[in-house]
Order: sequence, then C-alpha cells, then structure tokens
Amino acid sequence: MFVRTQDGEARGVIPSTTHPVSQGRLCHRGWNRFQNLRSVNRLVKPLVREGEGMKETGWNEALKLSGEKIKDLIGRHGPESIGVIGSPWLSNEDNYLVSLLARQVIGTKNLDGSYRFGAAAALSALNQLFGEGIGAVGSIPALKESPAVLVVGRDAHRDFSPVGSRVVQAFQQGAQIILADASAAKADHFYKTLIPVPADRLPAALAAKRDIPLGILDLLGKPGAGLVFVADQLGPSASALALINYLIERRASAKDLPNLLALSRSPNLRGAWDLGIRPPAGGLNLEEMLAPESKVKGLLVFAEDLSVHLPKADLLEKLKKLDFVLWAGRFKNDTAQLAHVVLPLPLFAESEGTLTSCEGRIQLSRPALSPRGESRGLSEVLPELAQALGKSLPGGPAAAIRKEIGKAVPGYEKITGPEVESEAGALLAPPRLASAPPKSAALPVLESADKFLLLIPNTLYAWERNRMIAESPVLYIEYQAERPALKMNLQDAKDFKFRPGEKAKIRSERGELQVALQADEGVPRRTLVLSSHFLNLVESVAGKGEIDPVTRSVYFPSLLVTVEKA
Amino acid sequence: MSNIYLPNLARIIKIQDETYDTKTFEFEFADPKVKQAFKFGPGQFLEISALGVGEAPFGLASNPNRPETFRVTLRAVGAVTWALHQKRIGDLVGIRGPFGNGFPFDEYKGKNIIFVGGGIGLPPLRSLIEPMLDARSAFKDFLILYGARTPADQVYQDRLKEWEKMSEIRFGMTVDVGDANWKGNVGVVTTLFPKCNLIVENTVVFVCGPPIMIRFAIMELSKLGFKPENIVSTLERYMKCGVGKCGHCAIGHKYVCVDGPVFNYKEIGKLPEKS
Amino acid sequence: MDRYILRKEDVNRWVEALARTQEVLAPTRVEKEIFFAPTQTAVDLNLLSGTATLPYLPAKDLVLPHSENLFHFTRKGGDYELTVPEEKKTAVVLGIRSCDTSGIYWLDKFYQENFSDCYYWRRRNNLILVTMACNQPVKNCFCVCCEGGPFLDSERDEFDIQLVDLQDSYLVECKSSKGKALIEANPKLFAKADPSAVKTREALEEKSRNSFQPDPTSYMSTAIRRITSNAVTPETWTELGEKCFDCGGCAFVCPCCSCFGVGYLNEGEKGCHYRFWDSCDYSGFTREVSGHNPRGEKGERFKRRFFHKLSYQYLKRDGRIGCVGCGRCITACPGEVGMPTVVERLRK
Repeated sequence: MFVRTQDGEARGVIPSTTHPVSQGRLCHRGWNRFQNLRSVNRLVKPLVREGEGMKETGWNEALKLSGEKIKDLIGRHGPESIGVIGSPWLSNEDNYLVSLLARQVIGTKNLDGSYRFGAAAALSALNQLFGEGIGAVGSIPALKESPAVLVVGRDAHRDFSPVGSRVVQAFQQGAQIILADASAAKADHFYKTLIPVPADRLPAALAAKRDIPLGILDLLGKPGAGLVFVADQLGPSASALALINYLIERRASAKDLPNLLALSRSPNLRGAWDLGIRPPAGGLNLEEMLAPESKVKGLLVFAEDLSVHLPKADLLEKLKKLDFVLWAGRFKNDTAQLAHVVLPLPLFAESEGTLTSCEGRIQLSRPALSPRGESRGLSEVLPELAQALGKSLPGGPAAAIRKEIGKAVPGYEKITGPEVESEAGALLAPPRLASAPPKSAALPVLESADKFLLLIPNTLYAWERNRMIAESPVLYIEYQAERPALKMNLQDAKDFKFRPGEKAKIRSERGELQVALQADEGVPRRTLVLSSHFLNLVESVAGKGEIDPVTRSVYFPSLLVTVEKA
Repeated sequence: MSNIYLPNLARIIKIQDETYDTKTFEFEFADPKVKQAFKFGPGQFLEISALGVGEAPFGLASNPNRPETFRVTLRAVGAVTWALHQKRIGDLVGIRGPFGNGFPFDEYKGKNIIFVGGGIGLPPLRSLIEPMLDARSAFKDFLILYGARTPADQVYQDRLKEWEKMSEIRFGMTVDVGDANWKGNVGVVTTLFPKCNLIVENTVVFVCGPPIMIRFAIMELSKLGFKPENIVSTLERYMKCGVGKCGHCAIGHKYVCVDGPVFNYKEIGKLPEKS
Repeated sequence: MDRYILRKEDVNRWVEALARTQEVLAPTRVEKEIFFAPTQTAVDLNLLSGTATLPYLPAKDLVLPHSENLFHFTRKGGDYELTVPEEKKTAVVLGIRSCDTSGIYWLDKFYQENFSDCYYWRRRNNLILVTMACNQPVKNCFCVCCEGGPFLDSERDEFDIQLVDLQDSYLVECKSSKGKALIEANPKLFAKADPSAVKTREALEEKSRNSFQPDPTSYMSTAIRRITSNAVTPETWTELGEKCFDCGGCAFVCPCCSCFGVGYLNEGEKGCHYRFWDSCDYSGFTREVSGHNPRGEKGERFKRRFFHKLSYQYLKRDGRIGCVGCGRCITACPGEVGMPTVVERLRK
C-alpha cells in the first residue's frame, strides 16, 4: 500500500497491484488510511507531569527525568520494580530495542505486551506446537486453493479484506467454507455450514461432529485446508491448542500442515511476539505487574493506550497509582493523561521499520511523511535513555538494528537479506511441528434448554485501531460507538415484551446484572452478547473470570444465564 | 468562478433558549456586502459550520421578508450542533447558502392553509408561516396545529402565545404529556384534527416533525381525503455539500438538497426507495 | 477535425517541446504502479500505446483527487481569515485511455450542473487530454458495452486530441482549439494524414471492437431496464450486497464516481476543511447524527450504487450511464462483485 502525499500531507492511498497478498485490494480502513495520518490529536512534544497537568519540555529534559526516576526506583526497590510494555503497534526494530531495554539495560524480566489479554493465548499455542520460532504458519495467497476453510468468527472475513477475498475465491473454486460463530444468526452466502458455538467450545463441538456434515470435516484434513481466526478471540490457550491440533490430527499426510492464519487487528502482532515482547522465565506478565499485590513501581509503556486494554478494574487502579509511568506513543489518549513522562513517536508512515504479518512475512515499511512535530523514533530515543541509565543500546538506522535482530532472534535470519526490501518481503522459515506436540482438553459445549448463552467477546485488544478509526471522518461514522448494553435476538426480545432500552436482569452462577437491552437481528436465538470492554457490567455477571494457566491471564468464558425483566 | 464551498462569516447577534437542548440563533453576515445581497425563500436551508469542527444543514426559521438578519433553531445532538451551542453572542460561524427549492409561495395563494408541526419540526415551517401572515389576505382559511412532547419541549413559546390571540388565524396546540400548569389539549397532534373542522377542498397541508409524527399525520390526513399532492413536507438527510454534488442526500435520482427539501407526498411516493 | 501523422521517433521531441511551456503527464511506473506522472522527455511508448494495463486509478484523480483542501482558516482574535489553496498551471495528459476520457466527460457534465464546482473546474480547465485509442482490450475491459471506448467517436465526441497507434506512427485526430494549439506550436512534427491512414484507423477500431472477450456485460441494457422499472427484488439486492466488503474501493477507482465527504481539522488557531472520496457502500454514508440510517441495509446500499450507475433516471440526467467499462472495479473488489458480475446477475 502506498500513501500519496502533497505539500508534506497525506492526501490519499492506493493499494499495490503486484503485492502477492493485497493484489490491488484494500479494506475500508486501508482506503481511508490517509485521514488518520492527518490527525490533529497527535503528540508533538515531550511532556512531563506538573501537578495535575502536563507541561511541554525538551527531549533532553524528558529523557534525563525518566533516567533519574528509573534509576531511583532501581536503587530503592531493585530492577524488578520496573515493568516494560512493548506493542504490536511498533516495528520489529523498535520492539527489539524495547526488549533489550528491559532485559539488558534495566535488567528486569517484567516484559510484556497488552496482547496478554487476547492473542497471547493463540500465540502460546503456536509456540507449544512449533517451538520458539513459529515460522511461516500460514499463507494468504494459498488460501484460494484450499479444499476447505474453517473460519472462526465472521469478522475474519470483511474486516480482513485480503483474507476474505481469498475465502471468496476459494468458494468460487468449489471449496467448502465453514463458519464457527455463536454470535451470528446467519452466515454469508459462501459459508456452506454454520457451527453456532463460541470459539472456546469449538474443539469439543468438532470432536462431537455437531451440526457438521461428515464429508466437510474430512476435507479439513486435505492438504491446504485452512483455519482462519482472529488471534485475540480464540479463548484460552487450551482451546486454541485443541482447535489447531484438531486440524493437525486430521491431516492425511504427515508432511502437510494446515494453513493457519492467526489474524490480528494490530499490524505487528507476530513481530512483537517473535521479537521477545513477553516475559522470560521468572518474569511477571502484564496482568501480574498490575496486580494489586505486585511490587512493580514503575512502568514503561510503548505505543499502546494501556489504560483502555485492561480487563479488570483493579488493574487500572494499580496503573494509576504507580510511582512512575513513561508513555511513548503517537496520540493524546488516556494513558498519556496518567503518565509522568510522555514521549511523542512517529507513525509507521513516518518512519522506517519492518513488520511481520500473520503469515510470517517480514515486510519493510518506508516513510511517506516526515515525523510529526518533534516526534522521534525509538532507535534514536532508547539508546539515549540507556545512556541516561549509564548503559548502552545499539541504535542508528533501522537496517543496522535489523542486522542485530538477524543474529539474535531465532528464525529471523532473513530480516537482513535483500528479500525484505522487495515488495513481497521475506517469508520466515516454514514451520516445523514439535516432535511431541502437546495435547489439551477442550471445554465442553454448553447446553441448557431453559437458559440463555451469554457470550463475552474479547473487545479489549484493538484500541489503537479504534483510535485510528476515530481520527478518520469516514470511519468515525462507519463504526458506531457501542452502547453499554446487552445484545439479544430481536424475536427473543419481543417474546419477553422488552420495550426499547428497558433493562433486563441476567443471572449466572457467578453473579447477576441489570443492564439495558439492545435488540439485534444479527444475534441468534437464545444468545446474549456483552462486549468485554464494559468492565463493570462483565464483572457483575461473570465475576473474576477464569485464569488461563498458560498465559497466566484472565479470560471470560461463555456462560449460561437466566433472563428476566428487571 | 465563485466558490460555493467557501463559507461567509456571520456573527451571532442573539441567542434564545427554547428548550433544555434547543436554542435559536440570530445571525447577521459580517461582510456588509454579503449582508446586503443575502436573500432567501421560505423552506430553504443554510449550511452552517463551526470552523474546524464540522458543518451541517439547518432550515431557515425566520421571515424571508426580513433577510438582513436571520434565525435558525437547533437542537444539540451531534458534534456540530454541540459546538454551535457553545458559541456566544458576537462569535463568528461559517455560513453557505441559502440552498434548496423552498416552498413555492405564490402557488399557495387563494388556498386554505393548514400547518401541522411537531416539536422541532416547527422552525422550518416558520419561514413560511411568517411571510404568509404578512400577506394574510392572499390565503383563505389559515390553521396552525402544533404538538410537542411536553410543555417544556415547545419552541417559540412567545410566538405561540401571539398566534393563540390572533383573530385572523385558527390555532391549536397539544402536548403528549402535560404538566401541573398545562391546561390545554393532551394527546398527539392528530388528536386535534377532529376538533378543528379541517377543510379538505382547495387546501394545502404542511407537515413537519419527527418521522413517527409525520407518518401518523399523513395516515390521518389521507383518511380525511387529502390528496398526496396537497400534503407538503420537508425531508431531512445527512448532507455535506448542500448543492447536489457530494451524493449523501440522494434518494433515487432526487437530491434532497437541490430537488428538495420541500416535496409533496405524490413526489415522495414515486421515489424508488424509502424516504 | 484535423488529422495528422506523428512518427513514433518524434514523440519525445514533441513531449520535450510541450514540457517547456507546461507540465506533461504521461503514464509512468512509480514503484511498479502506473500513474500519470510529470514527464520531461522519454515517454514509455509501451505504456503510452501498448496493450499495457490501465493506471490503477482513473484520470479522475487529476480533476477530483482522493482528497483536497477546500480552505484553510486562521483565528485572529475574534475573527477568522479564510484562504483557498492555490492550484497549479496547465498540463497535457498524454496517453489517457478513452474510458478515462469518457469518465472525465461524465464528471464535466456532473460538475457543471446547477453550478460550476470551482475546485473541479480550476483543475479541469487546466488539462488538455491526449487520448490514446485502444487497439487491443485487456482482460477486464468492457468499454465496448458502455460506449466508453475502445476509441473515442471522432464524429460525436468533443475531444482535444486522439492518438491511434499505426505501428510506426500515430494518427493524430485533433478537434478542439486546445488540442490544435499543441500541434500548431510544433508544426514540423506533424504531417497531414492521407486517406489510407483513416482507412487503417477504421479497420483497427473494428478489429479492437471484435476482440473483447464474450462478456456478460453485453446484457447491460437488460440490467438498465430492470433497475429502471424497479424490477429487481430486494432479495437479489441483499444477495449481491452480502458479497460486498464495504471497502469503498469500487467507488474510488470508478472514473464516474463523484461522491465526496468533508473532513474538518482544527489545531490550535489554525485548521482546514477538506473533501475526500466517499462511497455509498459505506453504512456511514447516510447515517444521521441521531443514529437513524435510511440506508442501513447492505442490499439497499448496493441497490443505490447500481441505481445511480445504470438507471434510466440518471441516464437521462447525465446523458450516459455511470459506467465506462474500464473494469477497474473488478481489480479493486475483494468480494468479486464488480460491475460485470452484477449485470450478469441482474439479467436473470
């Protein structure tokens, strides 16, 4: 994709027609990308806290102050009192430096990304199956040739045009396309089969062969069969592992692996994960860093509006009470509001760096615009911060950092080669299945004749994307803000004689909740949907959720509930 | 070539609170030449912008016979109206227009006139009511019906009181829900129909209000024998340019901003999609 | 109309001469994609007249760009200063294809209805279009079904210049005074064409017209009739609408799509209002502030798009259908539901 500029401003975009993935097509966010590049809500100068407000300052002062605060915390409480948060909204080069900053400069094992609450489950499953360097586990172009594709969640289609378009092409070539989605009343034209179960219960439903003609399940074992899912919405790691294992076990020949596409609405999820933005052994993850009893006193947050990602109210309270929060990012947002030091970063379109796609394709993004205001890239900033801490970090041009990555990160040897600079980018090595892939027990399918199924879809993973949407006049009206309400099937709402806006009382084994209802034709019968970002509502009915033992983080499984008029 | 997208600056010279979320603004153009040249017809609208925030269409709500200053009445519902509500007397806004076909004033001469207004639907009708009252003798029977949700939701309360006292017109008012002080009719605006002895022959009815009120009013009027071509309303659509170019307000091959906003129900019935 | 012969080896001399007094835009590869880019000399003849594909974006981009600033404002005390950005000088567009020229004619008509859109016209008036006739259509082309090509009609169309590739030379058909000026400034390069060249031209056009693949779009008139009489069922529109990804790509790459939105920026004491391509495929296109959306349904939005493109009501208003058959929507559509697919479906 190209950004077109005039007078130093983004004025338009066009897709690349020769790129093997995009082939001249974009989604609506892509087509309107130039609008958020013009955003006026950008950070343009470093800021430091002064009483209740923030004061503009120079880079030297901001970095000096940050260095002093970090040194002070290390001196008083040790390096483990500092946590570092990288981001799928940073390039591989930047994430690599963030990771080095934590491990080598500060010497803390408390390193993570906000995908802890979402995609970490699916990525951990891939790690368990394919080892540390996950490799190129999927291919979007190859999806077109699939005999069958299992798509988990209907969003995976329209929201990811290149993938959706290959699904349509596969359908046109006779492939069987299966949709698994408990929140969809009906499936689009090219889905042969709809499996109405939530992702976390899907492996059990597949094993029980529910709602699925047998021939189709057999096709999922054929070479090239695809599994498409949104990485942040697959439920706990055990479910993700069981689902992928299901396909691996069905395959006819040992040498074929299924085409696995773990989609993300963040541009560099795979890259951030692969470059080590996760806690090493003995380190705290993000949830543990912000737990009420945690000993972390200072948090360095990079490019992620952390305060809107947190799945529990007490984590946010802890974040607000930390002795020191450094926030380096692009937009004026809630996290910038509560930080002690704010550093402005350039957007992808304003700097050079590589990103790793869901396929495992490393691609180089070149700047189309100059950095806004006084914003500076992390490859300049972090070595200076390291210096303020009396240490050093490699810096310089992005290509120099790629050389370091090529040497240090397993599977990323190609990041230094000429392929990365080519349009198609460089694919990571093909995945190699671990000799003894782990098994996992799947959650049972929930069924009850007299109860409703409450789905709590994870919506706490894409807020940087939401920011980009808010900054575009087209997308801002295209995506309506969600109301804090419970979605219910229109006919069910009629049967209950609910008037518009009237409150319902829902009760589960874990709690109860009174909430406004929103009738929705798109929701299936006897199903309720409550987005996970309405924290207070979710905690009332779902309690504290469950802890995924692999990611050591909270998730909210679907529940059976009763419904009555409030 | 004149630039139809470049607004003229106009100053707010008066602000009147109408209801808790609705205000009437009176403007005058900052440039005396623009002020002098400005004319508008009943039923036309303006594109008003809070610069840097947004621009939206608003029906003119004052008498076209006195275009030196002009009024719009607006309810704070979105970013633009919200920003405009924050403005004070003396502040400048951007104004383009007037746009739209407006009411063909002369065609109504010699006819009986009925206005049916609901809530915030009265303002656009007022740009027609006032010049008609200026030329009262050109029209026959003259009936204004106005309904609001509650007495607190009524706009132009002073003017309503004057209309109530005028001997040359008939006037009826109702609220859906009354309060302690309300002594008048309670019920939706159509409940006034049977009480007002509506004349069907040689009559034009102007209907403007919330969509649900319009729907019921049309239904009742049709039952009484009013023909669709004699029922006139103004349509509202999301709009950007106001001049038939941006495409947002198109219904079939009609553009609300150019072919409307005034349509009669015969025209509306012919459109190939829902209005 | 005047007809001349321009030898291919003289093309660059002509371009060089033109470039001295105005900008010359010719199809050029930038990062593998084809754009109309400023050229001093050395035009890529294969892009200019070969069977090479069209630029991804139609030449509409030159008159109605993806986004353009309408005006800037500066707050000064209680007052505002409004300024309209300047527009640049004249340019010759060399090698625009007939479908794109037809698209610009459509826009010309649209942007002078009711009033003249000054942003459009100050760009348009500065352009001289040198159209290249297509001797060989490519895969997605169906201009022959939409009167968008493959050649401009020398009798009917009021073009500036049309070039026809005669292998070693170009036949130069010149109609408007703007076009004539480009020839008269460089008379030595142009020889009068003899009747045999005209014969060759006609044969080439005939051959080109016959080399389109048999294509469902030959049912264009059926689709027009059915849309005009509102005979297409809501179910069919819903079925087609379901295939749409709401990306807006078809509208952006369409030479005849003219809808725009307006954005507002305000930073401190300064700001600007700018307009940008918008698409009736977007659900936000008609959504009102209250949340009410008169075209909230996918199928209705899909119907809207094709009603505008193909209904007789619009055909009568605009003088032609809103499709020139360039096939770009086929390239841009991730749902594989471009114009020919829709027309084929509506036939039934």
